Amino acid sequence: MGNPILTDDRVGILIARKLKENLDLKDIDVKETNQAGFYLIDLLAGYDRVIIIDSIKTKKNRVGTIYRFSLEDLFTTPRLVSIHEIDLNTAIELGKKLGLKMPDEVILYAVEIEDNTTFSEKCTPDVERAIPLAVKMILEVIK
Amino acid sequence: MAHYLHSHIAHFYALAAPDFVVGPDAPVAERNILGVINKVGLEIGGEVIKHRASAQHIQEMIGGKPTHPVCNVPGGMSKPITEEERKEIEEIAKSQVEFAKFGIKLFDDVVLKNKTYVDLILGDVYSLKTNYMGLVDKNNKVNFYDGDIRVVDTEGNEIVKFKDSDYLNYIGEHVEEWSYLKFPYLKSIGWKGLVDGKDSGIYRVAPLGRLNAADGMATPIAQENYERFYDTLGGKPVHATLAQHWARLIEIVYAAERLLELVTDPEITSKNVRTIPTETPTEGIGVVEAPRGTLIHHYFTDEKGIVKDVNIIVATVNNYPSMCMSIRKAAQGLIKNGKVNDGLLNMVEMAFRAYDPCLACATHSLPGEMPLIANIYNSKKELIETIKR
Repeated sequence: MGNPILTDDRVGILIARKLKENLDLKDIDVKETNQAGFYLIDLLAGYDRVIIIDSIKTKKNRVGTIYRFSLEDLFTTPRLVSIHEIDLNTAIELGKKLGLKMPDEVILYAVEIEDNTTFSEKCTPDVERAIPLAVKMILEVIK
Repeated sequence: MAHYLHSHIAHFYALAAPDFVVGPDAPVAERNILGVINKVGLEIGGEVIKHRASAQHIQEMIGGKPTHPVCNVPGGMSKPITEEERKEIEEIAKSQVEFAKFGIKLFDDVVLKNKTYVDLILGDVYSLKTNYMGLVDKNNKVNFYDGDIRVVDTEGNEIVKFKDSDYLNYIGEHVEEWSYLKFPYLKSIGWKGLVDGKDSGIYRVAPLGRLNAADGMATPIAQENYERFYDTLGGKPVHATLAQHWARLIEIVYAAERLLELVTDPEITSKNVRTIPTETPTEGIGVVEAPRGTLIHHYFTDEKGIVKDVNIIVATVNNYPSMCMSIRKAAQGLIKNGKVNDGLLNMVEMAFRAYDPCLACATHSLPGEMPLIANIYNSKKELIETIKR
């Protein structure tokens, strides 16, 4: 997930592209998106297991830190996190309620970023350096 | 039209409906779209998801991507609509018209038949007397992407109607050092601060602004509902901020009806979708009605046609002064003796949510926590409580 023209916001997409080069894509789809909210239902429906890769800006750890979360870690209540759309947890619960096949497992990887407000198709150096490690970590989980 | 449908459906059912269907002071864990579905039933929930998704699908067919289309090229569009796509869109449009009528009925049943909610909508706490702005066609009917910009005053009288290319003559942008957003105002009246009333230059856009600035809707069912809107709420203009939600549902009807009109027009599958420009542009101004209001883009280019200067007044920015005032008025009217509970805080948020502000969508980075802080001050401007979401 990410906006590919907003500096570090693109890190999730870069990691996904690297994964795509290193995966047997017979049973795996790699998708890129800069959307969230209701669109997540369309995106996630039909899959058994999903790994979401995004950027995060907690400002509590050094830039380039890689986090692994489960849904419970980030969103403990199914309420609107955004004032504008529904959050990931709500999208999954809503999909299940409506009888759609939603993933049994969702893992979130996020990279601590520095800049997601400047137009650029290049990440900042510390975020760029985190990409190979993130790819390695996620490949191990998938394999 | 498809973009309006998906955006307005998401806003009404995910953001507005929880406040009315589940209740403004219901426990926060229930006041969401899941709570709405628990109340109105799974079948209706499925219809909401289906119609939002099918509207997105139309955008994907035409634009290549659902929300951020990649079809625009200098001089027009990158590809035409095929007959097969047209037929699919026509079926979706018919279904959207029926779903739009359902939305109006839901609002009637859940909100308008409940005196408490009607009082809430019409109450002074959620009212602002502002000017209103929106694009209109030659008959002064609401139009989303063509026509002139019409502005009416707090009594509903036309102040001015102007071409998009003249916007700088009519709209000023005030700057405050405490905010990175600007505060647009009508130049003919001037910036008088964050005040409403007939002497204020502040105007509102978005569904309520569009309906107030126009003389009606250009499609039949939307027009019927437009008339009922003003008959019910006491005539034009309607100053009730929460009436934005009803206005939004009327616009869903218009968008669905208009979608059906357009997709059954034989010209819609014309292969003539691009006129390749032969001259280098120097300056361009474009204005459309985005779901959240009037959207103004202004570009200057160099001798190679490369953009060198840009001014954009985004829809939400037009409403920014009013959002500030709406939150202030709701907080002052609802919070008494410094006592704040979750229900009251939500009712303050409702003033903000009515505008569907697009402030949080610049990126999709996870903030890791809800970025909402409410500071409660006493009458001496001393901070007495901070509540974080």
